[in-house]
Amino acid sequence: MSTPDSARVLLSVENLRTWFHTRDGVARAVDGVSFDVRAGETLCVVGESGSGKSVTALSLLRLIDPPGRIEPGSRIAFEGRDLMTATEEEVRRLRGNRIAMVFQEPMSALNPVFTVGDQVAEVARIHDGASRRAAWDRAVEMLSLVGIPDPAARARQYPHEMSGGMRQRVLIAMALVMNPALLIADEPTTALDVTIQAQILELLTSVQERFGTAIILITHDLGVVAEAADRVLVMYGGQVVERAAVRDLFASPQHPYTQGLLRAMPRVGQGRDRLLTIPGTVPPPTAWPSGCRFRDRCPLAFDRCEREAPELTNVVASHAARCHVAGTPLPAAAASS
Amino acid sequence: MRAFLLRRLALGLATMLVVATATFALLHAAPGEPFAELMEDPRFTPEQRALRRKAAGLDDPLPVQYLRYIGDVVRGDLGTSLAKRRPVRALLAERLPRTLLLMGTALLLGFALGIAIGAWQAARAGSAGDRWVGHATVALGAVPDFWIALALLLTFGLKLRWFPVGGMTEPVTHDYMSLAGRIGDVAWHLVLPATALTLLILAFVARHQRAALLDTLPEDFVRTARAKGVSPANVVRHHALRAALLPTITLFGLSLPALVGGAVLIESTFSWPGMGHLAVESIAARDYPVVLGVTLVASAVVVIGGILADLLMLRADPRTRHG
Ligand SMILES: Nc1ncnc2c1ncn2[C@@H]1O[C@H](COP(=O)(O)OP(=O)(O)O)[C@@H](O)[C@H]1O
Ligand code: SF4
Ligand SMILES: [Mg+2]
Repeated sequence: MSTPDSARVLLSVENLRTWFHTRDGVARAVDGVSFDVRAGETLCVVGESGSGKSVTALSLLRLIDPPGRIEPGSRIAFEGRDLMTATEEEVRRLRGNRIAMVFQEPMSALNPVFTVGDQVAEVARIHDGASRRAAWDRAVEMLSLVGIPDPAARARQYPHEMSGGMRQRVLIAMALVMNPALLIADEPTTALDVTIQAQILELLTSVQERFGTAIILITHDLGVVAEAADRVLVMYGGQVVERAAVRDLFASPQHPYTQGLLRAMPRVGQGRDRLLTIPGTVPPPTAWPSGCRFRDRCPLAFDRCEREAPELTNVVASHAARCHVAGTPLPAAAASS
Repeated sequence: MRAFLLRRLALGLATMLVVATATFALLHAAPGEPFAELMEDPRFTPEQRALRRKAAGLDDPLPVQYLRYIGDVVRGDLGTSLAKRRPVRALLAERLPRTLLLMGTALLLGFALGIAIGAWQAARAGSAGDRWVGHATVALGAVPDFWIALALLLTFGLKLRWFPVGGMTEPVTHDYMSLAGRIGDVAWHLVLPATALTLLILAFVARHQRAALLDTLPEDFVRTARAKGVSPANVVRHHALRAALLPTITLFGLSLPALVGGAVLIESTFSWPGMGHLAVESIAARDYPVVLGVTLVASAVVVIGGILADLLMLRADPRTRHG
C-alpha cells in the first residue's frame, strides 16, 4: 500500500466548511478542512467521536440535509470536476458509481424489506442500466468477490438473516459494483467483533490491491490506522490538526492531541475505546473555544493559545500540524489518566 | 404458517363468542321490547301479543334463551326476524354484499389515496403544500363523521342534484335497465356514500402515513440508498415508503372495528340498504335475532380482516416470516 508522491490527485478538498444552522446556534461541525486523496492510496481520518469525520465524509457526496449546509467558499474537486457547482443530478450519478460509501452501522444500513441481492443489484441497474437478470448475476458475483460463501443462495436472503460481519461485506459489495475510483468507509469495523474487524480490513486492503481503489478510511482506532493507512488526517473540533504520512505520524507526532492519542493507544487486541483516555471531551460544535480549539484539554496550553488560533502549517515537508508549539513533547504524565 | 392461521381462527371464534354474549346481555338490559308496536295496534289483543312473545321464546328465563341462541348459532341457525318474519340468514345474505361493496370501495380508495397523500406530504415536509394538506386532513379528522356525510348529501345530493340522495338503485326504473345500466345505476348511487367513507379513511391514513414515512426517512438504510445514487423520487417511493408501509398494514387491521362503525353511520345517512342500515332498523324494533346476527357477521368481518392484515404483514415484512 505505498504510493509514489507524484501520484495523481483524485480528490481535492479545500476549506470545506459544513455548518448546521440549528435552533441552538450554528454548529460548525466541519470548519475549514483541506486535504487531497491520490489515486489508489488509503487516507485514514482519525479523531474522537464528534470531531467532524462523518460530516466531512457525507459532505464529499453532498449528502448533507438542512439545517446543515456546505458553506460557500468550500471547494471539492473530484477527477478534475468541481462538485460544489455540479448539479444535484450530476452528483447523484457519481454516488455509488465513481465514489462509493460504506457506513458504520451494518445492522441498520441495509433495507430490511429487500433481499441483499436486490440491494446490490440495484446499483448496477441505476448506473449501468443493467437488466434485472444481468444486475442480479452481477450482484452474486460481487457477493462472491467480497468473500461471502454460497453467494447465489445468500443473495436471496434478507439482511436480518445475516450476521453483522456478513452484512458489512454486503455493504462493501454494494459499494464495489461500479468499481469506484474512491471508496469512503466510515468506521466500517467499529460495530464488529475484533476478529471480524480484522477480516473486513483485510478485505478492503485486498480490494485496493486488486482494483487500485483509493480509500478514505474513517476510524477512531489508531490500530486500524497503523495497519491500513498510507497517509493520515487527525481531526479535532471540525478541523484537521495534523496531516502526515503514516510512518511520520507514528514516529514523530507533532500535535499535542496526536501525541495524546498515541499514548492512549491500545496494544493489538485490546478494547477499541481506549481513545477516551485523553482527559476531557470534545466541546460542542456550537461553542468551540476561542483561539486553539484544543486548549482546554491541552497540557501545553499557554496564554497565546487563548488569543490566537493556530494555522495548519508544515513542520517539515508534507507533515503539517495546527499548533503554536508543534513538535514539543508532552510532559511525561500528561496523557495518562 | 398453518399453526398461526389456526391460532388466529381460534382467537377469532372466541372474540365472536364474547361479542355475541355481550350483545345478548346489552339487548336484554336495554329498555324496550319486541312487538312493542303491537300494543298500540287496536287489532291486536294483549292475549295475541302474549302468544307471539311465547312463540318467540321471549318468556323463558334469560339463561335458557342465551343457551338456546348459542346452540342455534353453533348449528348455523341464526333464527327468524321478529319484525320482518324472514330467516335472519337470508336477510344477512342479501345485505352483506351491499355493505362489502361500500366498505371495500372506500377502504381501497381511502388507503390508496391516504398513502399517496401522506407520502407526498412527507417527501416535502414543512413546505406550504404539506402544511395546507395537513390542515385539510386534520380538519377532516376533527369534524364529526356524520357532518361530512351530511355536508356531501346536502351539497351534491339536495342542492346541486348531481347524485341521488339515498338508496342503492332507482326505485322504479332499475329493474327495467340493461345489465350495464343496472351496474351503472348502483355505481351512481355509490358515489356519495363511498366518497364520505373514503374521506374519513383517507384523513387518518394520510396523517398516519406521513408520520410513518417521516420516521423512516432518517433511517440509515435510506441514507445508504441515497449514497448509492438512487434518485430522490425512488429513495422515497421505493426504499422509504416500502418500509413505512408496514405500520400502515397494522393500522388497517386495527382500524377495522371503527370502520365498521363508520359504515353503519354512512349507510343510515344515505339509506344504503346494507348491514348497517339493517342494524339500525332492527335495534329500533328490538328485533333481537337480527341485531345478534348483524353483530356476529360484523365481528366475523373484523376477524377475517385482521387475519388478512396479518397475512399481508407476513408477505410484506420478511422479518416476521421466521420467528
Ligand atoms: N444533522 C445534524 N444536526 C446538527 N448537528 C449535527 C448534525 N450531524 C452532525 N452534527 C454535529 O456535528 C459534529 C460532528 O459530527 P460527526 O461528523 O458525526 O463526528 P464524528 O463522525 O467525528 O464522530 C457533532 O458534534 C454533531 O453533533
Ligand atoms: S496551540 Fe496551544 S492549546 Fe493548541 S495544541 Fe498547541 S499548545 Fe495546545
Ligand atoms: Mg462518525
